[in-house]
Amino acid sequence: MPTESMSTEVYAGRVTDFEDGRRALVNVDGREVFVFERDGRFFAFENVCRHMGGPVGEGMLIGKVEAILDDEGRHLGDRFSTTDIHIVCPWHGWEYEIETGICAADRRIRLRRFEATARGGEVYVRG
Amino acid sequence: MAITDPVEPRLFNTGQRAGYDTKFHLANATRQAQERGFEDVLIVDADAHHLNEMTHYGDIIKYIPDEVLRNEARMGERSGLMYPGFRSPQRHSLSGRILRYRNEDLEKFEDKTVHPEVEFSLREMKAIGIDYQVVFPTALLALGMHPDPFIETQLAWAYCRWLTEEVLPGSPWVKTMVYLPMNQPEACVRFVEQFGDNPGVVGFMVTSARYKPVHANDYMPLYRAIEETGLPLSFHAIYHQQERMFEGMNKFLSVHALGFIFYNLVHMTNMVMNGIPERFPKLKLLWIESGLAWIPFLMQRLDNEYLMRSSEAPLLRKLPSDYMREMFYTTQPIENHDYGLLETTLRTINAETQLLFSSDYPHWDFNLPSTIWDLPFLTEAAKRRILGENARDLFRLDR
Repeated sequence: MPTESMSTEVYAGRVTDFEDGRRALVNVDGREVFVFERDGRFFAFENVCRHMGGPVGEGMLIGKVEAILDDEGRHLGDRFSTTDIHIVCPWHGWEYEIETGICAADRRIRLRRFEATARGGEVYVRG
Repeated sequence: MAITDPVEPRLFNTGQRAGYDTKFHLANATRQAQERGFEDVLIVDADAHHLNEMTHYGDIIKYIPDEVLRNEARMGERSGLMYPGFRSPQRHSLSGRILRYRNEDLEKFEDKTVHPEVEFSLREMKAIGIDYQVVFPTALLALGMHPDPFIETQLAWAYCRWLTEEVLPGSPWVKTMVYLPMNQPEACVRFVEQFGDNPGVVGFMVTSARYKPVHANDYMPLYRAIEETGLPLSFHAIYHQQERMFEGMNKFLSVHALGFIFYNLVHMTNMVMNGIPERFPKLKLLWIESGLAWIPFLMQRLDNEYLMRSSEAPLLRKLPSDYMREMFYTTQPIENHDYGLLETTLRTINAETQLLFSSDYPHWDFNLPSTIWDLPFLTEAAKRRILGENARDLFRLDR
């Protein structure tokens, strides 16, 4: 999986390289960026957690935890969202939405996001 | 660099490709250290932990002095001497989200010249940029709540012998503070006498979750003995899930957030209001792992009430906050989400001379030196004091 700088666009690998949850690290304008695929779409963010600089791209992908309440406001349990997916920094557990990079616990904070696209069976990241 | 061969689907960790390696896990910390030039900054980590001392339980229990108890430990389960609540529900890994917990058994330690715990410390110290590190136990921090004081003392003695005889001699850069079994005050003095002169010892440690009040008269010989060593007495915070009031809290984060200040709030209040700093003016007190926000809170509470009821605290010759400002504190877990509040806190506690950096690594809420170095309102001189020079002086590392 070669990494080749094309001005602000960087080759991140073949689409097939990302099967089974595999991810790539690429250098975009001097920043370490991680790239991954989810349900046929590609995402890319800087590999630096906004908390303490952790390698967020190495973290777990997991559904947002949602509380289940009944009509009276009673708590019945929790569940994982199947649509709102988070990536979790493996250092301290800060969670970010993969769609936006916004921090789940404080929406004023977000990861640096890059555009990742697939064309011709290859994946590219734009700075 | 592209990663093409992660081992585990859905997870990718540069360390995991070869099992797990702290060096890779902390690669971003190493980059931070290089960018900030930490090779030219003395960094002393005043509070870190073993990877897992219970891994070495068999090595530890052979030092239990009481032969019947030693046999009981040897013949029983790995944690045979610990009462059922000894390891309260551990949710440190956030259900696996914090990867180093579930990977800790995968890490390889192959340096035959030092103990694996030392090799682990040196590995993460090098990655983070730390020069000296003070290590503490993890599971054994709960021993203060053991229902049998005799067992606390016996296990603590065994742990201190293992640490000072088998672990610490491997490196002059890794230190500890001696665990004091405070439920048996007379035994504590023996600990000071036995271990206080060890080159790996930089102080004495009380694990805070315990009920015997720190102003009890039978502690006075201990305070005198520690004062004479010139080394600090520290109170290392810990929560206790079975604390009656905490039983009503259903979240680990709730118990942890309050538990790590609760006991130190009580011990600090008793220390100050009973005039221990007046009775032992050269006794250096260090408060570990409660963060910082609790200190100005308690200063304000105690000053306000003392001014109305000074007759209840006749030993005091100045405000409670004045005594607290002469004590020492470690940084972690630093509450740095609001710089305005943090700046006020650091000013209030005289951070430039009283605050010591601590990482708490490898625990789930560890801090890096950048949490201090990147603060915009500190001078570089203050940062250097906090990151290492205050600890160097307090621990007498130049001995």
